[in-house]
Amino acid sequence: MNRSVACQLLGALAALALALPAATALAQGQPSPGLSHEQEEDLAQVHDGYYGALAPQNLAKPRPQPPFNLTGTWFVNLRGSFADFMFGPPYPHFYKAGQEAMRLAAAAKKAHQPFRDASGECWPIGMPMILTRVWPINIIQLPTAVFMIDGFFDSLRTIYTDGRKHTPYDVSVDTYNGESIGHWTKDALIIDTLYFASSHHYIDMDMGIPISSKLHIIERITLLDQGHTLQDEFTMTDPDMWQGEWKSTKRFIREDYSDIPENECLPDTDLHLPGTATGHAEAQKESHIKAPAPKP
Amino acid sequence: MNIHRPGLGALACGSWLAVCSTTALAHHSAAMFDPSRTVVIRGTIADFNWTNPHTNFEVIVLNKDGTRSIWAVEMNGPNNLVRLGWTRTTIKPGDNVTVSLRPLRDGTPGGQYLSIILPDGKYLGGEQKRPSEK
Repeated sequence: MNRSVACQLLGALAALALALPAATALAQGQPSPGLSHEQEEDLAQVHDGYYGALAPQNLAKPRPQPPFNLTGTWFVNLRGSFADFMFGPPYPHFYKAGQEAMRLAAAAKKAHQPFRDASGECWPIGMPMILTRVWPINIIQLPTAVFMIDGFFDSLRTIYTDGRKHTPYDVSVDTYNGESIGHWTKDALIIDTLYFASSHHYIDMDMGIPISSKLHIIERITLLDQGHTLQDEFTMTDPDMWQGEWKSTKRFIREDYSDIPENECLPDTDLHLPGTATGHAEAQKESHIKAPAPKP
Repeated sequence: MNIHRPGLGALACGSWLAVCSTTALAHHSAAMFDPSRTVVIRGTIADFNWTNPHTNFEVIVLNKDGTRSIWAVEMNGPNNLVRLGWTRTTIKPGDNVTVSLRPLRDGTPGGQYLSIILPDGKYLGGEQKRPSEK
C-alpha cells in the first residue's frame, strides 16, 4: 500500500471515528455529542491569527477617517444610454478566445439567438458585470470592510479595508466576485481584486467575452455630486485573454427609497421563463403545444 | 385561435419599449423575443408565480384547430409590477384574460408581458390607455 492510499484510508477511518458516535447516538434517540473546539473552528472557518472584519477588536482599531461613506442603496446610471451597462465597446485587443467570442456573438445576434447566456442559466454573473445589473445594490461601509450586496441573486462582494493582504495564491479560492482588498487615499477607495472563477464567467451580455483565472481588476471609487453619484473606474487586465488594460467607468445613483429583495436563482427558476434556454425548451414540450382543457 | 397580431400602433409598451426588455437583461438575454411585434392572446390562467427575478404566468389558449396551447409569459419582478398596479392576487388559475406580449421569435407559444385585461375588464400595462383607445 503506497503512502497516499494509506493517508486516505487513515483520513476515512478518522472521519468515521468522529461521525460514528454521533450517528449511533442519533439513531438511538440520544443527544448527539457536541462539537470539539477544533471542529467548531473548522466549521466556522476561523482564520489563523487574524480577526474577521466584524470582530469588535478589529472594528475598534484606530484608523484614519475615510474621505467618504458609501453606505446606501445604489443603482447603475443608465440615464444617458441603456447600453451604458456594457463594458465595451471600445474593447481591448483580444487574443484567440476573445476574438472567437466576438465572431460567435455576431453570428448569434444575426440569428437572434442569445449567446453564452450563463446568468440566464443561474451561473453567478460575477465581477465586473454584477455591478451593472438593473437591480439595486446595498453598500455597507464599516472601518474594516465595505460590503456590497447586489439585488441580482443577492450576490455578496466584500472589500476588506482592515489592512490585510491578499490570500497567498496556493491557499486562495477562485470565486465569481473575486477577493477584494481595498485601501483609502485622500479622495478615493482603491480596490484590488484577484482570484476569479472562470467557468461560465463572461463580460458583456450576449458578447460572452471569456475571462481567465488571471483576471485582475483595479477600481478607483469616488463620490461625486455631493455624494449622490458613485463613480467606479475599472482597469482590467487578463494576460491570457487580451492585451494591456481594459478600462471602463461606471456611475451609480444613490437611491434612498430603495432596498434589495431576497432574490434566488432556484433549480426551477428558468422553467417558467421562455426567454431562457431551459424555459424555451419547456415551452416547446408536447404538454405545452397540445395542452388539456383548463379545469372548471 | 384566440390570437391577434395588431399593428405597431397598438403596441402596449410604448415609451417603455426600451425598458420592457431591459429587466430581462438583468437576468438573461432577451434575444429570443421579437421586440418589433406584439401578439394578443385570450385564454385561461393556468399558473401564476409572484416571484423574483421574474414573475410569470401561463395561459391556456384555444387554437383555431380546436387544440389548446400553453403560453408561458414572463414579466418583471414584483417590485416593478406593484408600481403598475399588480399584486400577488391580481390573477389566479381559472381567470379568463387577454394578454399583450412580445412573442418568442420562433413561434413557440410564449413571450414577454406587455399588458393584460383582467376578468373584470380592468387594464394593467405599461401605458395609461388600452391599445384600442389610442
